[in-house]
Amino acid sequence: MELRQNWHKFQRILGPLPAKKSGLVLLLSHNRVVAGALGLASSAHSRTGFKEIGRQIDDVTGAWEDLSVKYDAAGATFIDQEELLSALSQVAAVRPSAPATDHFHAQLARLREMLGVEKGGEKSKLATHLGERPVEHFWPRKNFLLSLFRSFFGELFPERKLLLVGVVNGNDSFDALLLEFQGSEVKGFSEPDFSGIDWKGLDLFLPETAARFVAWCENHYVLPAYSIFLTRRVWDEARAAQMTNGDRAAWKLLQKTRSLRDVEKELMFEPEPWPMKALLRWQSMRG
Amino acid sequence: MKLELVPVVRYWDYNSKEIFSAIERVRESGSTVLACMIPWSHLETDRHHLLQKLVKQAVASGLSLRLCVTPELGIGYPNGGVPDELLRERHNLAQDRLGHPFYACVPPNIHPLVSLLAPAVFQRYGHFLLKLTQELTEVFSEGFETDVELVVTDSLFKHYRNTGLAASDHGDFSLRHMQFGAGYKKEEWTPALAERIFHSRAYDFLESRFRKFSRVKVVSKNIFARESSHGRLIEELMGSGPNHADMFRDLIRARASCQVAWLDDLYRLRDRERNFLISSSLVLFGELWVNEHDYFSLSEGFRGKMRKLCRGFSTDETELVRPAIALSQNRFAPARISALLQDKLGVALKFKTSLAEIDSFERKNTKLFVVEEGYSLELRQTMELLGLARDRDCTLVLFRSSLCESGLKELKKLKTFRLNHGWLFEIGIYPGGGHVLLIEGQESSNLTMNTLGDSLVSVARIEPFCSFDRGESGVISASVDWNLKDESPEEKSRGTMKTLFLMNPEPEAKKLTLEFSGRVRIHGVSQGEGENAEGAEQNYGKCFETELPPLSVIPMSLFVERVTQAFDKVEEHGTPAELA
Repeated sequence: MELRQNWHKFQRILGPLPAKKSGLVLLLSHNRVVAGALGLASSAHSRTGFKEIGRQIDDVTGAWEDLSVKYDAAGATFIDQEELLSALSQVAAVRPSAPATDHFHAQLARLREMLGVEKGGEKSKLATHLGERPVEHFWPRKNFLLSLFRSFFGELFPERKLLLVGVVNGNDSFDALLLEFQGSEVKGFSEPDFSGIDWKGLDLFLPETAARFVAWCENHYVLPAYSIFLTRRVWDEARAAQMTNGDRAAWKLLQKTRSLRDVEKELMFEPEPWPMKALLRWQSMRG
Repeated sequence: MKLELVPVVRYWDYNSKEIFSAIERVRESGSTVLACMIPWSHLETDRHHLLQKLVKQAVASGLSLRLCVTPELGIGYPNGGVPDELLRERHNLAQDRLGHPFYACVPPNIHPLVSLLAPAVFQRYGHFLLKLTQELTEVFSEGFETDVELVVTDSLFKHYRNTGLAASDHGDFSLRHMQFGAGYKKEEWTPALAERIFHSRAYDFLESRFRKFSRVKVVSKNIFARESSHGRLIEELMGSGPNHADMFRDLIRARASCQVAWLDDLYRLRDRERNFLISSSLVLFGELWVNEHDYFSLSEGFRGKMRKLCRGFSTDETELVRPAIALSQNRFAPARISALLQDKLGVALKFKTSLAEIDSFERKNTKLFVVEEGYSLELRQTMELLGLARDRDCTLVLFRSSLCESGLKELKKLKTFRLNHGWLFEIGIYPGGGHVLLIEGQESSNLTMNTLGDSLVSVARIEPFCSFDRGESGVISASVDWNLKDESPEEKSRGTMKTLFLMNPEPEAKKLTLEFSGRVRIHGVSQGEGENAEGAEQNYGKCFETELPPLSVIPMSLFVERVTQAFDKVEEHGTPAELA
């Protein structure tokens, strides 16, 4: 993946969803808070700023009791700055082959992993989590689509592949993002330059139209490509479903939309080999 | 005064065809200027022609251009535009006093920062400038009719500080960097000096190459950019986005040393918060750069309002009131007194690092000149500063440690008296009303710098225009003086026009009682009932009540009545008493 990395667009379409509960992250250096952030739950209305910079924290448990009341937070993550610096030296390690460093999303995902904030993740040496809820409840949730290949069906796909996500806004406009997967992890993304394809006026939900985009991606990046085209309405509904009922609900909604007959098509996977069908079914059952 | 809201275009994100529509979109939005950061490594790729395409297209569309030629972070280009190869060599990387590298934690990737004075980096940057000159000269030689500015900024130097380190730890302490500074006296080698060396070489080079194009100007500007260290990383990890109130505070503090505000990621803010930050930064800085995605996400109505604001105030008859100057050794780590004034005076303060930076307008209009402790003044400089206080009514504040022996002797020629307000002052008053304050020291360690700050502000008579400024309301004000050219002397003798901008960063409405030091007339605001309330006489008054909506920037047109002769008299004789 190379240029045209519009992070704002990526965040807008595939960015994380707010946490289930409000939570805090504090960065400590020699027991002093040097930075921090308050992550608000989707249901929270106020936007209180984080005001603990400079605070001395000798006992994290004691501090947590105070902070939980002050910020109405369900949990807090305390990170030591020295540990973070050593984590950063791994995450932002400059590699001998180009590109020098990974993409921001991959780097943040790696840091989240090191912080142990993913469900079922390993215990972290980098951070201490305190609170009345499990850590994944007060950290932002990943977009469900980014875990598309995370199942044993995902292993039936090539190791490196592309997924083109096209959110169709109307007749002549769609937001496209091309994700590069390494195994089940997103390693990079870009905004494909489809200016060479004359697609205006075509039905984007026809397999032959989608196939043109897929072919362009395959030719351009020399990697196998898959695509998902869906309308803005379906996309928004899927995100809302994930927000309220979790990943499985979002996948279920996609599965249901895909199987609708005798209505205008609002979702299409192209190509759709059997592992893809199996993958979708699996995700909608397991989530 | 000139106000400009400038969209920053990421031209490398477009192909040749798209550049045309991107520029048309900017033009149709009503903007007459656009800015671009030129990523260093992009010019080394096979898509480098896009720069020429952009410049050609912009000048053809009649848009003025600001091209930022120094590496900046958060521009949306991998590694901030610094070539990959330079990041691979450990000895090219900058590091803090504790030996940790600096990481830029902004999209599109987390990467270490290079030391801009490391030989390999410095040399490679030179190649970039050569290539840039070649590319731009080709376009400019074809002829053009618009203004182009090549902007040399304070670049990565402002980012050489890891979160949590003290201001005094600001800077690059890598071996290569220190070796570069080895030729300088230890106390002279500051981040500011390092920046100046890098900066002036780039500036001089560009200036010499583009002098032949009359419409191309090489300018040097300090840009406010959000911190990109660990604090930003935490924010990105939590997906919380910036807090508008913190950003507003940072902007106010940064105004002392920055001329341009650059806001690169407003997309997570709510519309009202974003609009507030944009309108307030526009008033405070005059020049505001916003990335194109944020710019186009503003509503057409709001952009129209900003256009009106810019049109209304962009004239040589207006001037943002900034009556204080602090001479600081190192603006990245201002000394106690400069930091204190920065907190106390906000946008009213300017940091300068040398006397030569103070222009003739500032010499004529500034009320307070402060030389921070440890800033060594030669006799020539001392005389120049004393001359300012002698020639007109202004206040000069010096620390004994700044003066050389001859300078002290010169000061002794002025009749002085001593004052002890916890801080020991020696005060001299020139017949023209100018004061010189020599700060001897602190009598008791219990006294805070705040006491000193209050004394200075009152001696220099930089009283806030409205008394709420010193309260805890959170509301900030900035005033703009109108110097109308077509005004008759008779009209001028009656009073002056001012616009007072009141900025409420809070999400709640604020009731304010505006208490002015003199009598004013405000359009559309009735007189209040505060202590200083007086009977209305031709709608003049000293005390007014108003309510500021949440997250608002409200301009108020004032007519300030000229003080009477009797009052002038009191002031003339009253100054020492006021001091005592």
